[in-house]
This record gives sequence, structure tokens and C-alpha cells, in this order.
Amino acid sequence: MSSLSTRHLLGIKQINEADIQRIFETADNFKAVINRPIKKVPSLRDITIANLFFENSTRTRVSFELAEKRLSADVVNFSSSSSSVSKGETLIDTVKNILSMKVDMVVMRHPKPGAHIFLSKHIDAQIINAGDGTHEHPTQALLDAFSIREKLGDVAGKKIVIVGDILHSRVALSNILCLQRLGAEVMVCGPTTLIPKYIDQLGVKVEHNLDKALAWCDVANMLRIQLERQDIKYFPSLREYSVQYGLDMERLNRLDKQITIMHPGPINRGVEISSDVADSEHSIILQQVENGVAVRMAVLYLLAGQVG
Amino acid sequence: MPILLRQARIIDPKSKFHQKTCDIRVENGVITAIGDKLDSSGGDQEIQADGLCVSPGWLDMRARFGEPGFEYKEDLRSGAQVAASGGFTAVALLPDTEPVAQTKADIEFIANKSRTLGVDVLPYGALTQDLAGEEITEMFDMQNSGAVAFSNAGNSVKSGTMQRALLYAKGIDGLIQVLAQEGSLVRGGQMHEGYYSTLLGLKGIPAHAESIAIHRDIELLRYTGGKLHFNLISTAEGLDLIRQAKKDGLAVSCDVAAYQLLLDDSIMEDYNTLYKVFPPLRDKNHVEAMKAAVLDGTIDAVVSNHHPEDPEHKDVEFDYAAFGMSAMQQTYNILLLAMGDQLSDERLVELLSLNPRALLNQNLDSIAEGAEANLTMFSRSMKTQFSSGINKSKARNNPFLNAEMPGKCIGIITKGQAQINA
Repeated sequence: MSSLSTRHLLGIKQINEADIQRIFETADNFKAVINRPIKKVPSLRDITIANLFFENSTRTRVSFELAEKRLSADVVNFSSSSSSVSKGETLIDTVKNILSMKVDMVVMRHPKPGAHIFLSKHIDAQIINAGDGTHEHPTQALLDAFSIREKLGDVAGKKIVIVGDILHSRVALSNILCLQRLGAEVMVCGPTTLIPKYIDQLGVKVEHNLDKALAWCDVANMLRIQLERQDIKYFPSLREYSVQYGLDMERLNRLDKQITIMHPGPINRGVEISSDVADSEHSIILQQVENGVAVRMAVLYLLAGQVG
Repeated sequence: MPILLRQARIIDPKSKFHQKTCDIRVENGVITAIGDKLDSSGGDQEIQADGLCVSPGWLDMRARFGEPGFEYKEDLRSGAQVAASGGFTAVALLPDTEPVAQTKADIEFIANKSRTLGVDVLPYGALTQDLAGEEITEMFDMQNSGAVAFSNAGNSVKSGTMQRALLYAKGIDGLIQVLAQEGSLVRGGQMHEGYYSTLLGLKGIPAHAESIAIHRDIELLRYTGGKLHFNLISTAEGLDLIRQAKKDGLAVSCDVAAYQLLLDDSIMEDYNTLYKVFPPLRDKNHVEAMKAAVLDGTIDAVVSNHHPEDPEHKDVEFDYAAFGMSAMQQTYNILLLAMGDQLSDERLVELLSLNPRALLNQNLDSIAEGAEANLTMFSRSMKTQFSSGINKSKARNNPFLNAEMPGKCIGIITKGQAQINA
């Protein structure tokens, strides 16, 4: 069984280009599997995976759970609403308790940056990061890059703009790191208050005018405005945000070329993206969701080779 | 037992023995003889070491010992042992205890409980009630009970309150200390804002949160007169403001934490909470600016900023972890590691002893026969292998717990006794 250069998937930062290519090749195979009448393979039989979600999630949790089940893993779910976290138990204690029940791998979402790196210093099981606060969301970045590769043939040399709240987005950071590693050019676009001051030091272009950004790019990844992550107001109103950074058909029609539209979901229709764009042929939003399962199967499969 | 220092180089610019290498005899807490080669009386406790230097006792201007209220992190007794082991014969303590040190009774409690300890413990009184930054405290009363200065610990003070506090302190010749950081810009920040905070997804604390606050307080001082001491300066811009204020003739002074001179924000890459301190570890440019300011005299004192924490507050997710490092025992070693040979022994003694003592009115007689013995002994040519066994602190939030570091604090002589490190 081939595997990755690391024991965990803590972030894109911790994996190399060969790892990413191996994940993509494996995901190609699994994508074929999940489109067959019998969607299940026995690869992870006898492996137990705990999905620990210390922050709300629907689609990422469902995507991981489906990926695990299609690989025939035993799955246990744990979310903060039903946890002992509210009773004051520490993260290490919570996870160690679950691992005592002979769990092999942990998929975790956590509201605080670096939580997975912290946890990896204290436990033996393999950890997959399903999002850590405003830091990374590596499987999202992998499935986004995989979807670009599927749509455009290759990621290298492509121009990708990430639009929206870059400051609070873990999707943005993981996407930047992943796309750059694969040879793409990356731009971020959004209100000045939502672009980190030092983001250009990561080697990305910064643009505050959406029309200019769209004219530059091959792919636009429209991020969701995460009001729940903003402790204070970074822009005056959703209406004003939508006027400046909302993507609608009129904007797309002004371009003299076709671009690909992505969104990590869930969509705020009418805010960052209009319904006609989201449902148009330019959009690969639902393909991203489908690819999410295949890419997560690939990650789980490649890391499971190191269980034990 | 009389103590006999063999071939110690005296570092004390005011002493006629400055830079001379002599034997020194101390009996009953007094220096009784200084000479080229003193005869051993037979019963002497002899101290000799490679590169042995001796200076007036060091004073740490900024530390926390947790008593009262947080004795499980550190208490006055364990803290005094840390100080002695780190070469300090005196240590000034912040008022953010539980309860806050803000009345005569609170100050007397610390003074009384410290009387029998091996080092001098100098309490600071709270600058504002409950450290809330709004109403000033009974500074005169606390000063008479032994408070050596007034501080709001890590908490910010409103402009109007700061102005009244500066005026009031001027009337009683009191010293105010301020950790200048603009709260609305620090807000939830976890580390220095820059490349690494962007890469780590941690909320940044911008450098100008410090310079804006320093600028405000300098302007207030220009209006009120009196004197003001800035704690833990960590930015190039903040240092420039203080440099200019000194040129303008204002009575300003400042200190820096030793670890700030050694460590920069690149060390945060694996979210190690041992390095989560406030103000945060800055980037390399700021570190270079701080080191230059140590040498050019802009920075008056180097402090440990000893901040003991228990594992429950450090061994958690980065955002949940408490700020602070408890490396007082390694202050000298950290300073040497950061500054190397650029820092002369004479400048080092100014930063660790003479300047902080002058600022807190704790001046000592210069080293001479007949003077009270309040001395720190140290050697730059030796090394120290730290280990859990020689950690005197109750706390372990210290990245240098097991480090081998340049320099060695040989020990201290104060209050009539010698405390020598193994």
C-alpha cells in the first residue's frame, strides 16, 4: 500500500507536491468506485475512525463519513453539542478517552488554529484536519485543486482568484498553499478590512476590485461570508458587500472569456454569488462536493496504510 | 562563616576597585577586606570560579510570584529561591495578585511575609483600583508601607486616569510604570502580526498597538511633568519614541524582557505555547532594534518578566493558553546568548543592577571595605546545564528548563548570607 510522506494530514503546509499528486491519482480511482452500482470497497475494514467535530459542520462531516463508510471503516461520530467539552474536559482528555476505545484514526474539526498540531504531540493515532479555526482546511484545498485539475486538465499555470473574507478563512490559506505548490498563480480579492495585511508575503497578488480580478483569472473561488467568525463589523452591510463583491451573471457576461466558478459551500445565494451563476454551466460547485468524497477517501486510504 | 571570594573581578563603576581583580572577604554581611591576596583564616567559605566577576546585587524590576492567590503557580518562598539562583538579590513584584495589591494592608502583607526570605522583595502597588484603569489607588499610603512604584500590570489605563495618576504620583515623588499597549488594537491577539501570524492563522498583535500607546503616555507626561517608566518595550517604533522623549529631556525610562532579545516570532511555527508571551515575540527587525537600544542606552533595564503558569493554563490549544514565560533563573544566560560579546560586563551590570536600583530608589553603597555586602557573582566564561533538578520554580512554562547555556550565576551574597549555585 503506498502512502504519504507524513503520518497525519495536519495541513497543506506539512505535505509535499508528490503527496498531493498521489492523493489525486488515488482519488481518480475512488471517483470511479463511487460512480459504480456498488460504491463500497473493503480497503479500511477493521479500521475505526472517530469524527470529532468541536465546531458545527454539516457537509464536511457528511463527506468524511461517507468516505469512511465507502472504504468499509467503522465510524464513530462525536460533536461538541453532545460532548463533555462543555463540562470542562480538556481536548487531550477527550481524545485520549476516545482512543482508549481502540480508535485508529481521528478526523477533527476544531475552532482554534493549531489544535491539530497541538494534539499530534500528545496522542498516537493519526489525525486528519477537517478545519482548525482560521488556519487550514487541507481536504477542502485538495478537493478544490482536484476539481480544477478535472475541469481544466491541469492546475499548473492556471490563474485562480479567491474572493471574499480571506482574514477569517481557513479555506483561503490552504488553497493558497496547495495551488502554489501545484504551480498555479493565486490572487486574493475582497474588502481591504478582510485581507490580511501581510498576505502578499505568501506570494499572492492582492486585488480589491472584483471586475479586475475576474478579468485576470481562469477560476474564481467565491468564499462564503462567515459572519459567525467576525467578532466586529468588517464591512458596513451585506448589501454593500454584495454590490462590490457579489458575483452575478451581468459581471460574468462583461468578460470576454469563460471562467470557472467555485464555492466551498454552503452558499449564501444573493450575497457572494447569485443563483443564476451558482446554477450555471460555469459553476463546478456540485462537482466539488462529489470530488470531496473521493479526495477524502484517498487521504484516509493513504494514511491508513500507516496504522499500527 | 566568613566568605572569601578568590580573584574576583569587581564590576562597579562607582567603586575605586572597578575592573580590578581582587580577593574579597565578607564577615557578618559586611565587606571587611579587599586585597590582592588575602590570607585564609582557615574557617572561610572560599568561592572561586573561572572568570569570576562580582557586582552590586542585581534587581529584577518585573516579576510575578503568585502570592497571594496563585500560590500553586509560585509563592514568595519559591520565587525568592528562583531569584537568588538567577543572581538577583532583589525582585520587584507586580500587583496583579488575588486580591490585587492596592491597599496599605496588601503591601504590608507582602513586605511582612518576605522579611525572612533570602532576597529583598519589593512590592508594586496597583495604579488603579482592581487594575480596571479607571480610578487611582491610595498611592501615598502604599508608598509609606513599602510600595516602590505603581503599575497596572498588563492592564491598560484610560487616558484621563493616566493623566491624573501621573499628576498625583508627581506630588508624592512616586514612579509609575506602564505596559503601553493600545487595547482595542491588541484585542484577542495571540502573537506578533506579520508573516508568521498570517501563515499560522493566529490573530495578530500589530506593532503600532505599542507605539500608539507609548506616544499617548509621552504626550501625557509632557503635560504633567514627573517621571514615567515603560515596561517591556518590544518594537523599533516604540524605542524611537522613547529615544526622542529622552532627548527632549523628559524623565522617561524603559525596560525590556531578556527573552525578547533572543527569540523572534519564527519560533512560533509549531504553536508552542511556551513562547506565547505579552507583548508578543516580535520579528527579527524588531529584535535587532531592541538589541541596539540595549547597547545605546535607550533601554535602561533588562527584566525577567517572570510569569509562572501551571500546565492547565499552558498545555492547551494556543488561543486558550495563558501568556507568560517563567525563565527568571536563566535571565543572565538568555542575555548572554542574545547579546554575546557585544554586551560588556559593565553595561550588563548597569542593566541588571545599577539602573533598576536607581529607578526604584534601592541604591547600594559601592563596593568597598566597610560597605554592606549585597553582591552578585557571575562568570561569562562558564556554562550552565539547566535541568529539572535545579529548577527552583514551581512552574515549568520555561523553554530553557533543560538547556545548556553560556554563562553561570555563581551566587549572591545578601542579608548576611551567601547563596551559591551548585
